[in-house]
Amino acid sequence: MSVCGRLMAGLATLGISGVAAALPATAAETRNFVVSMFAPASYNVEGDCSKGINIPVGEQYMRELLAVGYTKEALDKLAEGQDTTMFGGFNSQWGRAVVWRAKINGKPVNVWVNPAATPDPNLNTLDGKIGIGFDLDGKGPDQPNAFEDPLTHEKGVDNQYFRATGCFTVFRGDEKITPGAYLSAWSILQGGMPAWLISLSGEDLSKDGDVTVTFDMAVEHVERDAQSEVLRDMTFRINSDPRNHHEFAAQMKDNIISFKEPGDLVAIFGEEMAYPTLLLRQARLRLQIKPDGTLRGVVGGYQPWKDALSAGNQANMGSDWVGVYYNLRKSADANPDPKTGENQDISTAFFIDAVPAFSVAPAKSKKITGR
Amino acid sequence: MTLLSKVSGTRHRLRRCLSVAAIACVLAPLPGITIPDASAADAQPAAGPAMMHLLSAQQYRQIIDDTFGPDIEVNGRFTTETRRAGLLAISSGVTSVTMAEMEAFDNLARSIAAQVTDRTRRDYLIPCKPASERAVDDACAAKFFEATGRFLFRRPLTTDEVKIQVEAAARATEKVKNFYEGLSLSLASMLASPEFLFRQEIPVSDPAQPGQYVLDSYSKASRLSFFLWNSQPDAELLRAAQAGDLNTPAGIAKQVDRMIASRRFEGVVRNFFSDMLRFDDFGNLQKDATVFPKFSLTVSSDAAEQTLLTLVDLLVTQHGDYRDIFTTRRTFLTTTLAAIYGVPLVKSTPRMEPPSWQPYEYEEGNPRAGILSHISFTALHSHPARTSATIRGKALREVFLCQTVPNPPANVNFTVVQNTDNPLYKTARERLTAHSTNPACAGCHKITDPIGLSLEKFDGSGSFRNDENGAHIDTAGAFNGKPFSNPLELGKVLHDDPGATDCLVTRAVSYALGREIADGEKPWHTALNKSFADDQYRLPELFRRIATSPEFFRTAEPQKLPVKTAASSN
Repeated sequence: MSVCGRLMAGLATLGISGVAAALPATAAETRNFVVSMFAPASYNVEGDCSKGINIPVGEQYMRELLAVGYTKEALDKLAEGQDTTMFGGFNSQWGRAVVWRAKINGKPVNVWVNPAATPDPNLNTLDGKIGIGFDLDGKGPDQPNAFEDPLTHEKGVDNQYFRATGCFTVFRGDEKITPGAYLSAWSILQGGMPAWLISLSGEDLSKDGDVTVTFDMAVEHVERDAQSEVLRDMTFRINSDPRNHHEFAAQMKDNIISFKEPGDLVAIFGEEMAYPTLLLRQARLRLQIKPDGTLRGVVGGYQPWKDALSAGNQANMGSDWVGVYYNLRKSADANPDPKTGENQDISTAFFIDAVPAFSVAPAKSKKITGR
Repeated sequence: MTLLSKVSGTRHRLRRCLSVAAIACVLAPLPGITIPDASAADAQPAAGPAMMHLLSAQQYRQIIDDTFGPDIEVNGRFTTETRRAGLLAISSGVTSVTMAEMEAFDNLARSIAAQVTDRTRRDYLIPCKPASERAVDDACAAKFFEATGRFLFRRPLTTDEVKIQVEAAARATEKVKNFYEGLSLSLASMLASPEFLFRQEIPVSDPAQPGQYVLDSYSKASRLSFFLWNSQPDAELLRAAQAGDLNTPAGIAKQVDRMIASRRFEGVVRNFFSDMLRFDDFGNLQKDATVFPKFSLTVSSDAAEQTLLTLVDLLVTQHGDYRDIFTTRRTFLTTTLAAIYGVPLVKSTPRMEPPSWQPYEYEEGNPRAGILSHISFTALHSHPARTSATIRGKALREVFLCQTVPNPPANVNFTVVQNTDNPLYKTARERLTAHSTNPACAGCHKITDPIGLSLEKFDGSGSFRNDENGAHIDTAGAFNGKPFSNPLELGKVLHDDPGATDCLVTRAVSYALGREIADGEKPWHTALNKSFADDQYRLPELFRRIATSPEFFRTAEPQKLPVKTAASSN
């Protein structure tokens, strides 16, 4: 069945009109997809961290505990019989020392709740010239921190998130190798979060022309195939929450779909740890329909740098979260706070993959009456 | 020794052996029980022989469920069945039971008996309480064995049989000082006995037709219940047998109508088609996940269910025409199956519960219709990483047309067919054409490939495709001189082919009898074929006509078997 037929068949079978009504009046073809991978677009190359890759998180904890007053002897005692390559859990002396190393008014506080209450470890940031993304500020190549995108060769690319995190081993990767931290987080995330849907509508999606790109969250989550990849051709109901519904006027040129104008993109993933909510301001898109019918692309924009953090990152991603915290805060490059002048957003870019799916509009809610 | 006397012989042996201490004695004389192949009889009988059938695993479980309730766990290994003449149901009448299998039956029997008599169940499964739990209570034991035994042996126990069970229970109770343990050991001996494990059909002289033989009343009841419910006779059927109701057409018709009207009849339809469509092969089905990533274990387990739900809905619920199984657009899907079929299906449950089955109807223009387009046919009859037009064509002829297609000779070179990457032969049709230039292969491939190739747009996992290796797939062909251009048209050709309905009648009669149709029963088969057409090919009507036919209960004259004695064995 053609993709167009897929949608129309769905409408006919399910008696659904909502989807059709939401489509642009001129749309002759619509293809629906479910996001199968979403991860910050790392693109690391040899020598892009001139000061070196940041040391393993266990060693970093040792350094930071020494910096806040622990003696070598005291740390050796704490580490006795402990796996000090990681946090170690709240029930171990080592783990508690790691967590409660921050202080406010001389009293120990949880470092993950109060990262600013412990000194900046000044971990290394990436100083290479190659990075994925978009020229978000439109300032072109003449910026000290701008990258050249290795895939499009566009210069002046803003991706300060990559600079902040690119020297942590778990965040390093490239176009083909998703960084371990994101791969792990996304795999966990997908099992519980609602699926994220993309719809492309246009006159003829095999030719250049106008396209409408729509993002929605689904009611259902994705399912896996026999290779543990996201199962294609599943059917998803669109969540009726309007906060998740975003339509962008786009254009296809040489099989690349891009937004005509930047816009805000929001996805409420739920209660999961890695991306409870994704907010990208002035989002840009570069998306390609591959010969096998799947999507591969990059979405970029400015993200509140605090959104990029979560307590789970440290425990599960094997990086010093305090170091990441300070790096992100220092690297933030947009949306200055009117009072403090400190930037609240950071430029970033994500790889996004999606596989064909069916999507249908939600049924109208019924009024629930009392007994 | 006739079958009748053979049965009597086993009963006698049972009586001799049955004691708690000597349960192994019941088993020991029975290794290698071999039921003779009815077709091997010297004469051409007017009807087929009475049979002994080893209970299938499904029948065993259903009987335990019916007798003691669904919470009894039946955890055991059952004899592997081998398909004969298209049905597993026939193989149970021509089988051997090894010592290891008898030991497994014995272990299973002990496990079930222990559950029946344990503290949580004894109050409702045993119809009386002993005067003392630590002492013998023959009256209570007799009451239990009379009530339970008639279901397990599918007839009332004789006075002697009750006495044997009671005595066995008493002896065990005296030893272990526990009435329920004694009862359990005696019940285990019943469950491991040939009387329970084998459905034994007893022929008697037909009083209405001297020189002819029919089944006795209880054998009639069993034949009816295993045909229409795949289980033992219930209390009403046993009552009818005891009252002689099953010796009159009206009495039989009344019972048959009652049984077909029951929900349990659906179970038989499922069981019959699971057998006929070879769904037991799903247990060995493997798919290459790199080639067919959508084909998960969930798909494999749902595929058979999809077809069974479709068949029950069409043939029982809708009371539809059997021939429509080749053309119906109605089916049932889960969301996972819908993904592999490439059609939209929303979960019907609002809170992310496991997906449920939902009715689905393919719209006009969809290339799927009929059960030949189901995964249960297209994927089941394919290789792990590719399709096989030959295997599909062979399966179609054997399963739906009751034809026999020979297996390929051992020395055939399949290289051309197996190499799906050969740029010279991009499609299965091209590869098979090249392969069939060998005259030794061409004969059989002419039979199988044209119909198999018509299904080539369904890949080895059942997903639809238009092309193979970039080349358009041609699905045109002909069957019995009737051309078709795609699977939908093939379905219509099969719908109208008398061979398909004739085959269904053959399978249904064989399933009912538990053996192949005897030569003398062919006129009956012909008559059933005609009445099937008169009844607009309604399956329940066919089953009803089989079950109410006099031929269904008629048997050949019992054949004498060579008696094996210890001396002659040596």
